[in-house]
Amino acid sequence: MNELWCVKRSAILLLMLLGTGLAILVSTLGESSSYVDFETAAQDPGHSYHVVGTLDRSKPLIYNPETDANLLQFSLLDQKGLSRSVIFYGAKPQDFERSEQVVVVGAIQSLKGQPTFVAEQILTKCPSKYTEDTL
Amino acid sequence: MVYEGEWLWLGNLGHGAVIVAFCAALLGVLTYGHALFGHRLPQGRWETWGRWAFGLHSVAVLTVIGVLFGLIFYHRYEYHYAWSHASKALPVRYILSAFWEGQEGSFLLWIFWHVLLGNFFILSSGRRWEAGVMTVLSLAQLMLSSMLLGTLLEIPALGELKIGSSPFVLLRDALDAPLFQRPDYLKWITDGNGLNPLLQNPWMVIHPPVLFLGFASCTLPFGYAVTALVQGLYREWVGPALGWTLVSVLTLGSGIVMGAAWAYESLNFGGYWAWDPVENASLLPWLFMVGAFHGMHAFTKSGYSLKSTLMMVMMGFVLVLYATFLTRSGILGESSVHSFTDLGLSGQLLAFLGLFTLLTVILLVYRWKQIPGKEKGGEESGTSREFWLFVGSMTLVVSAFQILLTTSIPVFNAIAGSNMAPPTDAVAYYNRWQLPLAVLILLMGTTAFRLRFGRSEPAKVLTWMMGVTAIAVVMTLVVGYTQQIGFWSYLLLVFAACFALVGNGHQLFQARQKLPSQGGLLAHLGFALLMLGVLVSSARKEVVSLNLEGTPLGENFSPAQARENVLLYQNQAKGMAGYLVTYTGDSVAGPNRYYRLLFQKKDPQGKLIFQKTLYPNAQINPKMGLIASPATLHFWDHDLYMHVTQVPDPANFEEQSRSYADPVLHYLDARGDTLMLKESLVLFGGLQKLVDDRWAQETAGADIAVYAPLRIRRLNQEFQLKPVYILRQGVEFRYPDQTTEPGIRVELQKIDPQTEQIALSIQSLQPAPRAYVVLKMLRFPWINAVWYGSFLLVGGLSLSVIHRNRQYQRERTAD
Repeated sequence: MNELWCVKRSAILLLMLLGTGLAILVSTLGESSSYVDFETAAQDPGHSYHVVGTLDRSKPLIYNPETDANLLQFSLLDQKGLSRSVIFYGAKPQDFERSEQVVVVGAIQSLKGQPTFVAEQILTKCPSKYTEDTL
Repeated sequence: MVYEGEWLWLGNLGHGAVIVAFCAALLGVLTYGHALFGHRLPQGRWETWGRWAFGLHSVAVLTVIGVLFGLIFYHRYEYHYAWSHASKALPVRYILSAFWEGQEGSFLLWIFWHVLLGNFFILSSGRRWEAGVMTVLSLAQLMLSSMLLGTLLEIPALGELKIGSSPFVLLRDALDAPLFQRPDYLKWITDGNGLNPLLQNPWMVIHPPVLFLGFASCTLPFGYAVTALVQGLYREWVGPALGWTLVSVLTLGSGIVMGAAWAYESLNFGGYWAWDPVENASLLPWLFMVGAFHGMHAFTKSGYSLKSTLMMVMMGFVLVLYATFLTRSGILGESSVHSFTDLGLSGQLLAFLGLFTLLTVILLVYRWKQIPGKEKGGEESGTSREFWLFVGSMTLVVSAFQILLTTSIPVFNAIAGSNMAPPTDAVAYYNRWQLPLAVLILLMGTTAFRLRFGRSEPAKVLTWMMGVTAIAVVMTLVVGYTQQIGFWSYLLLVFAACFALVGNGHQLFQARQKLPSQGGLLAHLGFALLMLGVLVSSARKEVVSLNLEGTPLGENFSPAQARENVLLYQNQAKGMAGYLVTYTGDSVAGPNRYYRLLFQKKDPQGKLIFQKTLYPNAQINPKMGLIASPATLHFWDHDLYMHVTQVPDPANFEEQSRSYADPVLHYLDARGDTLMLKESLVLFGGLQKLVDDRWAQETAGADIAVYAPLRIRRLNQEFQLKPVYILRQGVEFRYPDQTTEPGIRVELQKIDPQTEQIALSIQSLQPAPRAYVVLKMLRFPWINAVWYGSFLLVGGLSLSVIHRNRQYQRERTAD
């Protein structure tokens, strides 16, 4: 009897372990966001996505800390070449203008009737970080 | 062409030493490997050969390190590594950081620790394990030193294959510039690129060596496990490997804590931990080594959980390699703030990882049936310590699995070509999984210490647990109430941490006579304090620089959007977190610009009760833009942590402050008039003839020489200006007059005799731009619990290492 209970306990422990592992796997798949372009993000307004792109330098970049230190507006060219205006309620990230790649995390929202990408996070990738290999 | 002034011999020496180190490591693998697989020469001759090989390898490695250090120390900029990581202005203490800033240097650091550990191991441990452990160590050294070879292999079918990246590459070979057409090019390279300013921090001198010692120390327990599996010494390896595992736990743990301290002190991501892939990569092997240690501990006392222990030890080492692959192959790409750039070594790193993973899997599968499991019918009791040690280490594995899976998302993408991204709120996601696991670990870890190996008396333990629970509940209520922690899941962790504090504290008190042997209890106590600090400081972390004045953004603006940055004009105080904060100016020291922030607190009577100046700094680096480092106001129960997020570019600032607005013409009656300007009143008393000795030269022979006496009133001040107009032989000469305060410049432009009017051209000085900083400030309550908890944890582990070593020496002499 005692032995049976012991075997059962091992089995239960193993099952719990596997169950938790499975739950982690499912939740990772379920909660993960995805890298998309603006068109896909626009199909599901309000849903949070990662959009990878480059700073659209033909459009103005507005950040004026003296009027609002928490408002950054710029346009991002996604990987399909579509440019959308992005708004971020925060300070301009360091070295933003130099970035060679920008990832914005957020969702398309309608601001004053215009579909705008409202970013919650901005990640920038700068040319090979610090080491610049030019003389 | 013969280039002048290069120290080529030094690089050749270094490169030669790398090749020797590589070959000696290969020799070490072959000789020690022979001994491991039992091709015995009489009296361990293979081992003797192995020792020679490892000795040679050690000398070669030390030479490589000496040469590279020399290149940096003597600013030999003909070498790319020295040029890209050092500069003349670099203080001597950061030359060490420059050494390991690059990939090659950090590989060398790892190699160095292996050499040190290997020699220590040979000298201190018995010959029984030498062949196996040293085979594994030599194999690791072989792979690592191959990363420094820097040779191109011509393979007919595949083309060129790059093996390693040499730190002794010449600048003129690494870069392409017209300068290199001159034989005396070196004269023109006056300074190096310099060390990344973020790494110019005392923590960065000490953090990488400790972390790499942690990584390197994981190789030894792995070596023991391999030896055990190859030679069938399934039970015997645990004892000698236990101490080394503990060393790994201690050094890796210290390295992680130092990394957290560095992040908190000098990075501006706002905290000590951000679940960044690079941080996770160092946490993963630690979790496995902690699990492995507890498994080994259980095994030595009860013969239980051998298989899981073997797996955890081996996984710990494999995860060190995986961490290396993640951070150095460039695969993390955009998902991490601080990964290394790709040096083109991904293939080699993958081979390194693959080799040891394969070794692990093959050995475990091949020997699985032979590894002794639990004894027949000897299922452990649910009230035994070993059972809960096992469950606890499995919980650590689950925790590591979750971190591993989420961190590996970029790897899945690379394999499957998918476009998965990390969860948008990664921190919340990690916390959701890790919080319940931490609760379980704290509760089990505390209770297991109260249990005995074999079987305990449930009634006694239950009574004890109830007592501890009662005190912990009271503590939880106090903490929850005073810190206003509302979520039940947070309260649960507070309870678990309090339970662990009380439980471990009580046992420590009871065992106070034998304190040197109580490192475990001390470490558990530290861990509980650490968890309490982590919870309170992150759950109640508060942005105190909330901007409530920002321009409204229309009806769609959600107030939930964080507006976490505040603009502070110079000399204009703002209230934040109960303080009056004034930005009073800045000063430059070296590459840094320090922003003076005056913190004041007044009591209701207006008496000053607190005053302190803080200096958050930033580098406006031509290469990296603004790099802000935080400053912190420390109190016993909380920290105020701040950094600038935006500052005006000082260059623009000076230029702007000198400029005048465009001139505006005003017509006035020549006999006297009054002019209203935006901010001032101009009283004109009528044109006057210029009769003045000081003007004698200018007025000589003039047809007209007049001036306009002007009184300018602004606020309560009055200024006088006298713009002069001279006409001589049909040529007009104008001499404007100006005051810098209030900033006005007037020119007598024209005199019109017909209309009897004069034209004044008035320019006002642009209002001086006001200096400002944009500031972000956070309040971390109970942050000190994090650091004191970490101290206790590290202290407890150190005590355990010492104690274990003594114990092991006794066991060996007793044998």
